[in-house]
Amino acid sequence: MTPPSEQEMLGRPVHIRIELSSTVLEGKGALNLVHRITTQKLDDMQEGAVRNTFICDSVGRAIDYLSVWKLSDQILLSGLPTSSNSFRNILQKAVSWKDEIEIMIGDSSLVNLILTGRHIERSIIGIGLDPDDISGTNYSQFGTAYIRRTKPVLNHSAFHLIGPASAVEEIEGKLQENGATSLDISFWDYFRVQSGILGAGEIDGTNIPFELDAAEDISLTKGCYPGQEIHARMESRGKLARIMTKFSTNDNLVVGTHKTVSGGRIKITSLTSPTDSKTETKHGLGLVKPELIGKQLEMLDGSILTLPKP
Amino acid sequence: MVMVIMGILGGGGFSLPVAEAIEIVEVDLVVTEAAKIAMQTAMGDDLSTHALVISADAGGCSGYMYDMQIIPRPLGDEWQTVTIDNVAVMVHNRDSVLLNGIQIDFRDSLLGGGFQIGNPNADRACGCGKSFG
Repeated sequence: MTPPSEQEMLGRPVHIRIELSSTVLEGKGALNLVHRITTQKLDDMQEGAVRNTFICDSVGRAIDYLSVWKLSDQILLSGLPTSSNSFRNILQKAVSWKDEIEIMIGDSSLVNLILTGRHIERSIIGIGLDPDDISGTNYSQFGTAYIRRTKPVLNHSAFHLIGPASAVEEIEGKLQENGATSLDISFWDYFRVQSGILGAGEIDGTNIPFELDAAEDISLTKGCYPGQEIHARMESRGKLARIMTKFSTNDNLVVGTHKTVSGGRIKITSLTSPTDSKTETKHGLGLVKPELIGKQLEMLDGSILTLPKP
Repeated sequence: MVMVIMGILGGGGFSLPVAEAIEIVEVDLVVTEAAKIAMQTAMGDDLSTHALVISADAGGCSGYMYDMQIIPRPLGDEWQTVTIDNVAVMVHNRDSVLLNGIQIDFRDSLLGGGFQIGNPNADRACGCGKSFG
Protein backbone atom coordinates (compact mmCIF):
# COMPACT_ATOMS: atom_id res chain seq x y z
CA MET A 1 0.00 0.00 0.00
CA THR A 2 1.30 3.45 -0.86
CA PRO A 3 2.04 5.52 2.22
CA PRO A 4 0.12 8.79 2.42
CA SER A 5 1.75 11.95 1.08
CA GLU A 6 2.77 14.80 3.34
CA GLN A 7 -0.22 16.76 2.08
CA GLU A 8 -2.52 13.88 2.97
CA MET A 9 -0.89 13.65 6.40
CA LEU A 10 -2.29 17.09 7.17
CA GLY A 11 -5.82 16.08 6.17
CA ARG A 12 -6.38 15.41 9.87
CA PRO A 13 -5.28 17.01 13.13
CA VAL A 14 -1.69 16.17 13.99
CA HIS A 15 0.85 16.91 16.69
CA ILE A 16 4.58 16.78 16.16
CA ARG A 17 7.35 17.00 18.73
CA ILE A 18 9.90 19.46 17.43
CA GLU A 19 13.35 20.30 18.74
CA LEU A 20 13.89 23.78 20.14
CA SER A 21 16.28 25.11 22.73
CA SER A 22 14.76 26.39 25.97
CA THR A 23 16.44 29.02 28.09
CA VAL A 24 14.84 30.55 31.16
CA LEU A 25 15.93 33.88 32.62
CA GLU A 26 15.05 34.90 36.11
CA GLY A 27 15.82 38.06 38.05
CA LYS A 28 15.52 41.81 37.90
CA GLY A 29 16.23 43.27 34.47
CA ALA A 30 15.96 39.96 32.58
CA LEU A 31 13.43 41.24 30.03
CA ASN A 32 15.36 44.46 29.56
CA LEU A 33 18.52 42.49 28.88
CA VAL A 34 16.85 40.49 26.09
CA HIS A 35 15.31 43.73 24.78
CA ARG A 36 18.74 45.37 24.51
CA ILE A 37 20.42 42.58 22.56
CA THR A 38 17.65 41.52 20.14
CA THR A 39 15.75 43.07 17.23
CA GLN A 40 12.20 43.32 18.60
CA LYS A 41 10.81 45.80 21.12
CA LEU A 42 10.32 43.69 24.24
CA ASP A 43 10.60 46.03 27.22
CA ASP A 44 6.85 46.71 27.27
CA MET A 45 5.82 43.03 27.33
CA GLN A 46 3.24 42.15 29.96
CA GLU A 47 2.62 38.78 31.58
CA GLY A 48 1.02 36.50 29.03
CA ALA A 49 2.67 38.13 26.01
CA VAL A 50 4.82 36.28 23.50
CA ARG A 51 6.87 37.82 20.68
CA ASN A 52 9.41 36.69 18.12
CA THR A 53 12.80 38.32 17.88
CA PHE A 54 16.18 37.80 16.28
CA ILE A 55 19.56 37.95 17.90
CA CYS A 56 21.99 39.31 15.35
CA ASP A 57 25.67 40.04 15.10
CA SER A 58 26.91 43.60 14.68
CA VAL A 59 26.54 43.43 10.90
CA GLY A 60 22.91 42.37 11.18
CA ARG A 61 23.15 38.65 10.41
CA ALA A 62 20.73 36.41 12.28
CA ILE A 63 22.37 34.15 14.87
CA ASP A 64 19.16 32.83 16.45
CA TYR A 65 15.42 33.27 16.10
CA LEU A 66 13.66 33.32 19.45
CA SER A 67 10.16 33.23 20.86
CA VAL A 68 10.10 35.30 24.02
CA TRP A 69 7.41 34.24 26.51
CA LYS A 70 6.80 36.69 29.36
CA LEU A 71 5.90 34.63 32.40
CA SER A 72 5.23 36.17 35.82
CA ASP A 73 8.77 36.30 37.10
CA GLN A 74 10.64 34.49 34.37
CA ILE A 75 11.39 34.92 30.70
CA LEU A 76 11.25 31.80 28.58
CA LEU A 77 13.24 31.90 25.36
CA SER A 78 12.75 29.17 22.81
CA GLY A 79 15.18 29.15 19.92
CA LEU A 80 16.82 26.90 17.41
CA PRO A 81 18.84 24.04 18.90
CA THR A 82 21.62 24.58 16.36
CA SER A 83 22.09 28.17 17.54
CA SER A 84 21.75 27.64 21.27
CA ASN A 85 25.47 27.63 22.09
CA SER A 86 26.12 30.88 20.22
CA PHE A 87 23.02 32.51 21.67
CA ARG A 88 23.75 31.45 25.25
CA ASN A 89 27.33 32.61 24.93
CA ILE A 90 26.11 36.07 23.92
CA LEU A 91 23.52 36.04 26.69
CA GLN A 92 26.05 35.09 29.33
CA LYS A 93 28.47 37.81 28.25
CA ALA A 94 25.64 40.33 28.20
CA VAL A 95 24.86 39.95 31.90
CA SER A 96 26.41 42.94 33.63
CA TRP A 97 27.67 43.32 37.19
CA LYS A 98 24.54 45.46 37.70
CA ASP A 99 22.20 42.57 36.88
CA GLU A 100 20.99 39.86 39.18
CA ILE A 101 19.97 37.50 36.43
CA GLU A 102 20.10 33.74 36.50
CA ILE A 103 20.22 31.87 33.21
CA MET A 104 18.84 28.34 33.23
CA ILE A 105 18.81 25.73 30.51
CA GLY A 106 15.62 23.76 30.09
CA ASP A 107 16.41 21.73 26.97
CA SER A 108 15.94 18.40 28.69
CA SER A 109 12.99 19.52 30.81
CA LEU A 110 10.73 21.25 28.31
CA VAL A 111 9.09 19.68 25.29
CA ASN A 112 7.80 21.53 22.22
CA LEU A 113 4.80 20.45 20.17
CA ILE A 114 3.40 21.78 16.93
CA LEU A 115 -0.35 21.24 16.60
CA THR A 116 -1.67 21.59 13.08
CA GLY A 117 -3.60 19.87 10.29
CA ARG A 118 -7.21 19.90 9.18
CA HIS A 119 -9.64 20.46 12.07
CA ILE A 120 -6.88 20.88 14.65
CA GLU A 121 -9.20 23.38 16.34
CA ARG A 122 -11.61 20.54 17.12
CA SER A 123 -8.90 18.61 18.94
CA ILE A 124 -7.91 21.74 20.83
CA ILE A 125 -11.51 22.33 21.89
CA GLY A 126 -11.62 18.67 22.89
CA ILE A 127 -8.79 19.13 25.38
CA GLY A 128 -10.55 22.09 26.95
CA LEU A 129 -9.13 25.17 25.21
CA ASP A 130 -10.84 27.68 22.95
CA PRO A 131 -8.64 28.16 19.86
CA ASP A 132 -10.15 31.62 19.34
CA ASP A 133 -8.59 32.67 22.64
CA ILE A 134 -5.13 31.66 21.49
CA SER A 135 -3.29 34.33 19.56
CA GLY A 136 0.15 34.84 18.13
CA THR A 137 0.96 37.64 20.56
CA ASN A 138 -0.64 36.32 23.77
CA TYR A 139 -0.26 32.75 24.87
CA SER A 140 -2.76 30.68 26.84
CA GLN A 141 -1.87 28.57 29.80
CA PHE A 142 -2.92 24.95 29.89
CA GLY A 143 -1.93 23.44 33.20
CA THR A 144 1.80 23.93 33.36
CA ALA A 145 2.14 24.27 29.58
CA TYR A 146 1.78 27.32 27.33
CA ILE A 147 0.30 27.50 23.86
CA ARG A 148 0.38 30.19 21.18
CA ARG A 149 -0.73 30.47 17.56
CA THR A 150 2.08 30.39 14.99
CA LYS A 151 2.52 30.80 11.25
CA PRO A 152 0.13 28.48 9.35
CA VAL A 153 1.51 25.14 8.17
CA LEU A 154 0.49 24.43 4.56
CA ASN A 155 -2.52 26.73 5.07
CA HIS A 156 -3.66 24.95 8.22
CA SER A 157 -3.86 26.75 11.56
CA ALA A 158 -0.84 25.94 13.68
CA PHE A 159 -0.05 26.22 17.38
CA HIS A 160 3.15 25.92 19.36
CA LEU A 161 2.82 24.30 22.76
CA ILE A 162 5.66 24.18 25.26
CA GLY A 163 5.70 22.63 28.68
CA PRO A 164 7.34 20.22 31.08
CA ALA A 165 7.75 16.74 29.58
CA SER A 166 5.16 15.06 31.83
CA ALA A 167 2.53 17.73 31.10
CA VAL A 168 3.12 17.55 27.35
CA GLU A 169 2.89 13.77 27.40
CA GLU A 170 -0.50 14.06 29.09
CA ILE A 171 -1.64 16.64 26.53
CA GLU A 172 -0.52 14.39 23.67
CA GLY A 173 -2.70 11.62 25.11
CA LYS A 174 -5.69 13.94 25.32
CA LEU A 175 -5.12 15.20 21.78
CA GLN A 176 -5.14 11.65 20.52
CA GLU A 177 -8.37 10.97 22.41
CA ASN A 178 -9.72 13.94 20.44
CA GLY A 179 -8.79 12.74 16.98
CA ALA A 180 -5.23 13.97 16.59
CA THR A 181 -2.40 11.79 15.33
CA SER A 182 1.22 11.93 16.40
CA LEU A 183 3.63 12.51 13.52
CA ASP A 184 7.34 11.89 13.53
CA ILE A 185 9.68 14.88 13.52
CA SER A 186 10.94 13.82 10.07
CA PHE A 187 7.74 15.30 8.62
CA TRP A 188 8.31 18.65 10.25
CA ASP A 189 11.16 19.73 8.01
CA TYR A 190 9.00 19.20 4.94
CA PHE A 191 6.05 21.09 6.45
CA ARG A 192 8.32 23.87 7.66
CA VAL A 193 10.01 24.37 4.30
CA GLN A 194 6.74 24.24 2.39
CA SER A 195 5.31 26.84 4.76
CA GLY A 196 8.34 29.15 4.68
CA ILE A 197 9.03 28.70 8.40
CA LEU A 198 12.61 29.54 9.34
CA GLY A 199 14.92 26.79 10.54
CA ALA A 200 18.58 26.04 11.10
CA GLY A 201 19.46 26.37 7.40
CA GLU A 202 18.20 29.93 7.27
CA ILE A 203 19.44 31.02 10.72
CA ASP A 204 23.09 30.11 10.37
CA GLY A 205 24.73 33.48 11.01
CA THR A 206 24.99 34.43 7.34
CA ASN A 207 21.55 35.85 6.49
CA ILE A 208 19.84 39.10 7.45
CA PRO A 209 16.25 38.95 8.81
CA PHE A 210 14.93 41.26 6.07
CA GLU A 211 16.16 38.75 3.49
CA LEU A 212 14.26 36.04 5.36
CA ASP A 213 10.89 37.77 5.01
CA ALA A 214 10.88 38.56 8.72
CA ALA A 215 10.62 42.36 8.80
CA GLU A 216 7.77 42.14 11.32
CA ASP A 217 10.22 40.81 13.91
CA ILE A 218 12.45 43.87 13.66
CA SER A 219 11.70 47.17 15.38
CA LEU A 220 13.50 50.13 13.88
CA THR A 221 11.95 52.47 16.45
CA LYS A 222 13.10 50.75 19.64
CA GLY A 223 16.62 52.19 19.56
CA CYS A 224 19.97 50.52 19.16
CA TYR A 225 20.62 46.78 19.20
CA PRO A 226 23.44 44.79 17.62
CA GLY A 227 22.91 44.94 13.86
CA GLN A 228 20.48 47.88 13.99
CA GLU A 229 22.61 50.20 11.84
CA ILE A 230 22.70 47.65 9.02
CA HIS A 231 18.97 46.91 9.31
CA ALA A 232 18.11 50.62 9.27
CA ARG A 233 20.24 51.15 6.19
CA MET A 234 18.60 48.22 4.38
CA GLU A 235 15.15 49.45 5.30
CA SER A 236 15.85 52.99 4.11
CA ARG A 237 17.19 51.71 0.80
CA GLY A 238 13.84 49.95 0.31
CA LYS A 239 15.38 47.28 -1.87
CA LEU A 240 16.92 43.93 -1.04
CA ALA A 241 19.78 42.33 -2.93
CA ARG A 242 18.34 38.87 -2.29
CA ILE A 243 15.20 37.41 -0.75
CA MET A 244 14.04 34.04 0.49
CA THR A 245 11.98 31.88 -1.80
CA LYS A 246 10.55 28.39 -1.83
CA PHE A 247 11.51 26.17 -4.72
CA SER A 248 10.98 22.66 -5.99
CA THR A 249 13.21 20.37 -8.00
CA ASN A 250 13.36 16.80 -9.21
CA ASP A 251 17.14 16.91 -9.46
CA ASN A 252 19.84 16.15 -6.95
CA LEU A 253 21.11 19.32 -5.36
CA VAL A 254 22.70 20.02 -2.01
CA VAL A 255 22.55 22.90 0.43
CA GLY A 256 24.96 25.66 -0.61
CA THR A 257 25.39 28.26 -3.33
CA HIS A 258 24.75 27.21 -6.93
CA LYS A 259 25.24 29.19 -10.13
CA THR A 260 22.71 29.31 -12.95
CA VAL A 261 23.61 29.14 -16.64
CA SER A 262 22.44 32.72 -17.06
CA GLY A 263 24.88 34.03 -14.47
CA GLY A 264 22.51 34.20 -11.50
CA ARG A 265 22.84 32.23 -8.30
CA ILE A 266 20.77 30.66 -5.57
CA LYS A 267 21.90 29.98 -2.04
CA ILE A 268 20.00 26.88 -0.98
CA THR A 269 19.44 27.00 2.79
CA SER A 270 17.08 24.03 3.29
CA LEU A 271 16.25 21.03 1.14
CA THR A 272 13.86 18.25 2.02
CA SER A 273 13.50 14.83 0.51
CA PRO A 274 9.95 13.63 0.17
CA THR A 275 8.82 10.74 2.32
CA ASP A 276 5.99 10.43 -0.17
CA SER A 277 6.79 7.65 -2.63
CA LYS A 278 4.40 9.02 -5.26
CA THR A 279 6.70 11.86 -6.17
CA GLU A 280 10.39 12.58 -6.44
CA THR A 281 9.91 16.28 -6.08
CA LYS A 282 12.06 17.87 -3.41
CA HIS A 283 11.22 21.18 -1.84
CA GLY A 284 13.54 23.75 -0.43
CA LEU A 285 14.18 27.29 0.68
CA GLY A 286 16.83 29.52 -0.79
CA LEU A 287 17.96 33.09 -1.32
CA VAL A 288 17.91 34.67 -4.76
CA LYS A 289 17.86 38.08 -6.39
CA PRO A 290 14.23 39.35 -6.36
CA GLU A 291 14.06 39.39 -10.17
CA LEU A 292 14.45 35.59 -10.25
CA ILE A 293 11.27 34.93 -8.25
CA GLY A 294 8.66 33.03 -10.25
CA LYS A 295 11.19 31.76 -12.77
CA GLN A 296 12.62 28.39 -13.62
CA LEU A 297 16.36 28.28 -13.04
CA GLU A 298 18.74 26.07 -14.96
CA MET A 299 21.87 25.41 -12.96
CA LEU A 300 25.38 24.87 -14.37
CA ASP A 301 25.13 21.12 -13.69
CA GLY A 302 21.85 20.93 -15.64
CA SER A 303 19.57 20.79 -12.60
CA ILE A 304 16.29 22.63 -12.88
CA LEU A 305 14.72 24.58 -10.03
CA THR A 306 11.22 26.01 -10.13
CA LEU A 307 10.57 29.12 -8.05
CA PRO A 308 6.87 29.76 -7.42
CA LYS A 309 5.33 33.12 -8.14
CA PRO A 310 4.87 35.25 -5.00
CA MET B 1 -10.88 37.34 36.08
CA VAL B 2 -7.26 37.59 36.99
CA MET B 3 -5.15 34.93 35.37
CA VAL B 4 -2.19 33.91 37.45
CA ILE B 5 0.65 32.93 35.20
CA MET B 6 2.83 30.36 36.82
CA GLY B 7 6.52 30.13 36.23
CA ILE B 8 7.66 27.26 34.12
CA LEU B 9 10.18 26.21 36.73
CA GLY B 10 8.94 23.96 39.43
CA GLY B 11 9.18 20.58 37.81
CA GLY B 12 12.93 20.52 38.27
CA GLY B 13 15.35 19.25 35.68
CA PHE B 14 16.73 22.65 34.78
CA SER B 15 20.43 23.16 34.71
CA LEU B 16 22.47 26.27 35.16
CA PRO B 17 24.81 27.05 32.29
CA VAL B 18 28.42 26.26 32.93
CA ALA B 19 29.94 29.38 34.42
CA GLU B 20 32.09 31.18 31.92
CA ALA B 21 35.59 31.98 33.12
CA ILE B 22 35.96 35.75 33.12
CA GLU B 23 39.28 37.10 31.92
CA ILE B 24 40.54 39.83 34.19
CA VAL B 25 43.26 42.35 33.34
CA GLU B 26 44.64 45.26 35.29
CA VAL B 27 42.86 48.31 33.98
CA ASP B 28 44.75 51.30 32.70
CA LEU B 29 42.91 54.46 31.66
CA VAL B 30 44.08 57.40 29.59
CA VAL B 31 42.32 60.61 30.57
CA THR B 32 42.72 64.01 28.92
CA GLU B 33 43.00 67.24 30.91
CA ALA B 34 39.53 68.30 29.76
CA ALA B 35 38.08 65.00 31.00
CA LYS B 36 39.89 65.30 34.36
CA ILE B 37 38.33 68.75 34.93
CA ALA B 38 34.90 67.48 33.88
CA MET B 39 35.21 64.50 36.24
CA GLN B 40 36.09 66.71 39.20
CA THR B 41 33.23 69.07 38.39
CA ALA B 42 30.82 66.15 38.14
CA MET B 43 31.97 64.68 41.47
CA GLY B 44 31.48 67.98 43.31
CA ASP B 45 31.61 67.46 47.07
CA ASP B 46 31.42 63.68 46.81
CA LEU B 47 35.07 63.09 45.96
CA SER B 48 35.83 61.20 49.16
CA THR B 49 32.71 59.06 49.29
CA HIS B 50 31.75 58.39 45.67
CA ALA B 51 33.33 56.95 42.55
CA LEU B 52 32.91 57.37 38.86
CA VAL B 53 32.04 53.87 37.66
CA ILE B 54 32.60 53.08 34.00
CA SER B 55 30.85 50.00 32.64
CA ALA B 56 30.30 48.15 29.37
CA ASP B 57 26.62 47.17 29.09
CA ALA B 58 25.34 44.76 26.47
CA GLY B 59 23.39 46.42 23.68
CA GLY B 60 23.87 49.28 21.27
CA CYS B 61 24.51 48.81 17.57
CA SER B 62 27.84 47.11 18.00
CA GLY B 63 27.31 44.85 21.00
CA TYR B 64 28.26 46.96 24.03
CA MET B 65 27.45 50.45 25.28
CA TYR B 66 29.48 52.59 27.62
CA ASP B 67 27.86 53.63 30.87
CA MET B 68 29.21 56.14 33.41
CA GLN B 69 27.67 56.59 36.83
CA ILE B 70 28.63 58.45 39.98
CA ILE B 71 27.69 56.19 42.87
CA PRO B 72 28.83 55.57 46.46
CA ARG B 73 32.13 53.69 46.17
CA PRO B 74 31.34 50.02 45.70
CA LEU B 75 33.21 47.60 47.94
CA GLY B 76 34.65 44.24 47.07
CA ASP B 77 37.59 42.50 45.43
CA GLU B 78 35.83 42.48 42.08
CA TRP B 79 36.44 46.23 41.67
CA GLN B 80 39.52 48.00 40.36
CA THR B 81 40.17 51.64 41.19
CA VAL B 82 42.23 54.07 39.15
CA THR B 83 42.67 57.40 40.97
CA ILE B 84 42.83 60.36 38.64
CA ASP B 85 43.40 63.76 40.28
CA ASN B 86 41.63 62.55 43.46
CA VAL B 87 38.70 61.11 41.49
CA ALA B 88 38.18 57.39 42.08
CA VAL B 89 37.37 55.87 38.72
CA MET B 90 36.21 52.28 39.17
CA VAL B 91 35.81 49.40 36.75
CA HIS B 92 34.33 45.99 37.56
CA ASN B 93 36.60 43.02 36.82
CA ARG B 94 33.92 41.70 34.48
CA ASP B 95 34.43 44.75 32.23
CA SER B 96 38.20 44.97 32.61
CA VAL B 97 39.10 43.36 29.27
CA LEU B 98 36.64 45.53 27.38
CA LEU B 99 37.63 48.79 29.05
CA ASN B 100 41.36 48.44 29.60
CA GLY B 101 43.25 51.19 27.79
CA ILE B 102 40.26 53.36 26.94
CA GLN B 103 40.94 57.02 26.28
CA ILE B 104 38.51 59.35 27.99
CA ASP B 105 38.08 62.84 26.64
CA PHE B 106 35.53 65.56 27.29
CA ARG B 107 34.08 67.77 24.58
CA ASP B 108 32.30 70.95 25.60
CA SER B 109 29.71 71.19 22.87
CA LEU B 110 25.93 71.54 22.81
CA LEU B 111 25.58 68.83 20.20
CA GLY B 112 27.43 65.56 20.69
CA GLY B 113 29.29 66.94 23.70
CA GLY B 114 30.17 65.29 26.99
CA PHE B 115 32.55 62.46 27.76
CA GLN B 116 33.96 60.75 24.67
CA ILE B 117 35.54 57.32 24.86
CA GLY B 118 38.03 55.89 22.43
CA ASN B 119 38.56 52.16 22.81
CA PRO B 120 41.61 50.35 21.41
CA ASN B 121 39.91 46.98 22.14
CA ALA B 122 36.98 47.74 19.83
CA ASP B 123 36.86 46.19 16.37
CA ARG B 124 34.04 48.52 15.48
CA ALA B 125 31.99 51.38 16.89
CA CYS B 126 28.62 52.78 15.94
CA GLY B 127 28.10 56.23 14.48
CA CYS B 128 27.02 57.86 17.73
CA GLY B 129 30.19 56.70 19.51
CA LYS B 130 28.32 55.20 22.43
CA SER B 131 28.48 51.62 21.26
CA PHE B 132 31.41 49.35 20.46
CA GLY B 133 32.11 45.73 19.87
